[in-house]
Amino acid sequence: MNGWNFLAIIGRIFLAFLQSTGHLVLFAGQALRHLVLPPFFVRITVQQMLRIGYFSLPVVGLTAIFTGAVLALQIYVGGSRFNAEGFVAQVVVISMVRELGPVLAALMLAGRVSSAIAAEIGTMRVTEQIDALTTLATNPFKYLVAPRLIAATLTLPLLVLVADIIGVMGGYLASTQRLGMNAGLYMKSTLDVLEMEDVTSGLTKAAVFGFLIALMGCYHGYNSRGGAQGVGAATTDAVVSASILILLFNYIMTDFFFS
Amino acid sequence: MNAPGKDVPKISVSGLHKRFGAHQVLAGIDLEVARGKSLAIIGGSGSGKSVTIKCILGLLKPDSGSIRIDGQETAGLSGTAREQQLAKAGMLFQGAALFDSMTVWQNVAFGLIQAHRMPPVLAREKALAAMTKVGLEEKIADMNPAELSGGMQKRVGLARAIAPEPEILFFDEPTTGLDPIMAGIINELIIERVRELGATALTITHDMKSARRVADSIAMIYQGRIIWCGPAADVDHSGNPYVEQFIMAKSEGPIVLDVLRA
Ligand SMILES: Nc1ncnc2c1ncn2[C@@H]1O[C@H](COP(=O)(O)OP(=O)(O)OP(=O)(O)O)[C@@H](O)[C@H]1O
Ligand SMILES: [Mg+2]
Repeated sequence: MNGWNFLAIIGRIFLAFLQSTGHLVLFAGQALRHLVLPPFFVRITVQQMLRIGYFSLPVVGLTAIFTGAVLALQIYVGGSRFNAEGFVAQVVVISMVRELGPVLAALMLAGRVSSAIAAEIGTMRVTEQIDALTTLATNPFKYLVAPRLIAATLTLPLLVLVADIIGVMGGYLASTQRLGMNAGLYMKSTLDVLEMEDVTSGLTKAAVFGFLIALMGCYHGYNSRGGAQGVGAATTDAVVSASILILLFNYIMTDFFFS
Repeated sequence: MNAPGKDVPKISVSGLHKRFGAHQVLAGIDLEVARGKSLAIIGGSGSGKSVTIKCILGLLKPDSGSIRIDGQETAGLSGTAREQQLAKAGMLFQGAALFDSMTVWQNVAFGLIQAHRMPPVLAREKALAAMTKVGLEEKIADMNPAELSGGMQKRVGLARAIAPEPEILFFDEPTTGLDPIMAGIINELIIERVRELGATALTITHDMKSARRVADSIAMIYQGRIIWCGPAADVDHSGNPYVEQFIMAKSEGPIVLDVLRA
């Protein structure tokens, strides 16, 4: 008997998972449809780009510079065990540009942007502002969802580009100031090893992460229920699911670029 | 498009069903509102009044039933066809539902700018005119909705609903939460504005005073159905025990509140 109960619970969880995945895919499909069909709300999109991009610069910059610096020190320590301490510059730039820049910037923005979007749209939902939009003949997908998706997808690569540069700077500062490396040599090694594909793969990841961050914020906000508590839950769900999806898609895309 | 005849009701709902999970909220709503007339739906809290309006507006998808506006079926419409139907209607929400990211005048002008593609300068003028009509002063035009009292917010919501000059107006509990004087003022504003626009109106309320004042006829909803419908003047001698209990506000009678039934 107990065995069957256990199976039933597993089955129920699995069905619930399928159901919410289905909802999400439908939501994303509808969002994409309204993304490509006019009218477009250009001014709102630009506003959102400023809110998402410009105001995230300090957070992303700080994350990048410390990560770059720590990376340099750790690689030096670890690398010296097999005479690889000379490769600090190369390892810092490749791991920053291909991996840590996009992922760390995206995780920081999952906390900052997904939650803000979920809270804003969720509040609009529970105070009937989304219904009000519809009665004023304005499609909430076009007016609320599409601008945020476009803004995040375009902005995150720009932020990541900044994060890459600042991260390499961090490694450079730690290596030259703390490890006493030669400044010119460090920059030369960095530029020599860097390939265009490193940058483009990192920025492609960033664009996908940006889309996921806005999508999770919009999805959980749009479907929030039941007052302040519901909005709070939507905010948490948005951050958690955005973070998990970022890590999942990071693996999928890395695997894809690898082959 | 062929012009609908005079005898086609502006709004006609039949057999409207809606359930949330196991909870059957609407179990076959039938109602009709003639062009230029005003109907009030009364009923207890949670009886499905707001759900009825949201189904008519297409904000909720009914499980079954027919909803006709000007004789045209709207229950299955989507996309531009539905937007065209929506453009005929204005709605005052229960909690005003003002956009808190915009100023008062931007709220009022929203429908004009978005749906009617009016240039902002002109829309602002129109918005100020609509605000004057509901007794709002120009000086609050640049304030945030959050800075206003509940009564003022209702007026802004009313101005926003009437600004695009809709053919149908929906009012969801326009007087709830207001003091009796402000409630009276809102009632008068509704009557004046509906008359001026020649609009068809559907008001939901549990405020009997308001229902008597603003409506030509009154319908009562109970357990997901319309159990009585008649001219507003007849509501006091309806002969229907449910209606009598509701308007006399008696705790004893055929209506048993869900909380008491448990
Ligand atoms: N989106 C929803 N999901 C689940 N249940 C809902 C939803 N909307 C409404 N309900 C349920 O439907 C019932 C009717 O709600 P409705 O808002 O229509 O009541 P009402 O008659 O407007 O009451 P009130 O006078 O308090 O506003 C309630 O029991 C409510 O819990
Ligand atoms: Mg209600």
